[in-house]
Amino acid sequence: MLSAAKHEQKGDLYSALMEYRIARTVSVDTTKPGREVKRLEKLIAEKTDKLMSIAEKKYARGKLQSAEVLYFKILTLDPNYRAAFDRLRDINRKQLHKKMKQKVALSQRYRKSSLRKKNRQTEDEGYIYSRQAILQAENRANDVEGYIAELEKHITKYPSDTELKEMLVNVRIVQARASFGESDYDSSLDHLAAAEESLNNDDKFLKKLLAARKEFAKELYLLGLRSVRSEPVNAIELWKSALKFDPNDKRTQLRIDTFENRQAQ
Amino acid sequence: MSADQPSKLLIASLFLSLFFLLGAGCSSRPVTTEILARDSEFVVLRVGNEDASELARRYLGDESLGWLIEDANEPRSIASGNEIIIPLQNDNPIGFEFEGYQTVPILCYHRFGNKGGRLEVSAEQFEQQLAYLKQHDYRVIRLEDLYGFLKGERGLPKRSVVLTIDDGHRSIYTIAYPLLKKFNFPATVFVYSDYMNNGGLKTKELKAMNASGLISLQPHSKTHSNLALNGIGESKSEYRKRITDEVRIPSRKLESTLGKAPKYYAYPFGDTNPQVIEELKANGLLLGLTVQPTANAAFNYPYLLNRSMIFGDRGMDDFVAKLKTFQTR
Repeated sequence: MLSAAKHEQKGDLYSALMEYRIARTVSVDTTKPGREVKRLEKLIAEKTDKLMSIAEKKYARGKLQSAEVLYFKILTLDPNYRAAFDRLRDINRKQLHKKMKQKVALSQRYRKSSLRKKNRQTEDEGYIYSRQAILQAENRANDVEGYIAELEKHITKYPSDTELKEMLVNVRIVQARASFGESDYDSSLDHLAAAEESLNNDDKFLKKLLAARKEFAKELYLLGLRSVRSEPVNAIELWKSALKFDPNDKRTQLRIDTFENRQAQ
Repeated sequence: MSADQPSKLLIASLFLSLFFLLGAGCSSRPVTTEILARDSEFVVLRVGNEDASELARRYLGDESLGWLIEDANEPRSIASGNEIIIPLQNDNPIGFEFEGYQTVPILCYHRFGNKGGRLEVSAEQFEQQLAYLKQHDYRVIRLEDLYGFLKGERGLPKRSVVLTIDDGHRSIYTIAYPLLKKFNFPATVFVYSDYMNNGGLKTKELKAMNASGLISLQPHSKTHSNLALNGIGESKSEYRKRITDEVRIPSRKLESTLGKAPKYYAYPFGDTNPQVIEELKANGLLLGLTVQPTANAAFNYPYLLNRSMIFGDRGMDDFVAKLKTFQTR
């Protein structure tokens, strides 16, 4: 009984009802549990009908998300409320059809020539699923590493997929930029180096990565210039980092040499 | 019969009686289940030496419903001396609770072996995954059970999982099937009919798996073409005919091979559209399975069931993450 009261206090009327029903089975000498069962059944019926009426209005107005929340609530109060269950299914059907349309559009986009050999079908299946795994990983906003790992796995298996190579380059550069922004230059370099390793046979992408390296090196060179008078040691560190990004940057090397020569004198 | 034989029998029976008397005297556990209360909704009892299956057979008329008793009494175990309740009706077949609702993950495998490729899972990996399900008390159910859940009529064990295998590669018979038998886990194999006896599973193998009662064989198209996409240069009427053939022909072929009409269909590449779904319905197929990676609630639309792909290049963490059996609100 206590347990039932606690459930009711929490708002979990269905569990409270179940507890009272069990109590009714056990306590044949008292009518109290039976009365509680009736009271709760009535309360649940009132609440669910009220919620259903609001939900139906929202549904009719096309506000499916807020209607959905109410249908969920109805079913937690009464799992046998068929009308709410049917509405949830209807909303789910619409959502799934929408998702499926997006998925089919992707399949269309990735479709290869109709001349493919018949026995390559399951290989293509692997290709498509591999890409789907990437999209899935991409959607996990907090799992950039997982996304990158999926891209690298895919590229190892399908080295001619230039579209995904481009995606890998872009995400690595974005990650490098984020680390750079936090002054974590080693991590930034790691991202660029990892991308270069994955794409070491592709001049187009290596050029893009080289351009990113030069850009980061230039920014560090300018940062060094700005701080050379006030914090010369820091400037040298920045230029040394710049050289890690672009070891062939003569301008930065010259600055370091000049500074070190002065120090030596 | 010799003269001393009756006395030997008498001594033997005395020994047996003494053995049982001592056995009963030494044990403090009640031998029989004691009913404490009962009405049309519940039986409340103190458990004797029966387990959940035996209690389910006795009170629910079906020993496979032992899980219903276990789930209703969780975390209390169905052990001798414990007071438990047996719900005589499943009042919540859709698994909705105050905190959220039950979901059923459907796992989707393809090939088994060590040749490599993302779609291939090694025998060791597969065994490890099945062992994980067993050890962590997941209940591997049949698609048929899931169908009842989706109709809102049949409750399922709390940690239900469905296993499916696509395409009909022969490694299903040589690698997966023996492991499924070892764990006594049911699975549904979706085959595309052009592959049957043509590089894929042979009729003999299909029949053997079907006869085991553990494996359900269902259609996965005729040629494994993408049913949601028009072929290049394919007219509307050609597309319609292709869809009809891709649904009807494998169903007929499986029916003629195995003697029973298939009920479920897995879309090649997981892609479908309303026209394909209509074709499934016209052919009496009850469920359509995609590869959208989420678990399924009872209210899930039955012709767009989600499945999570199991890749061979992923670890156990990824596998475990796919076993989501409850969605919190």
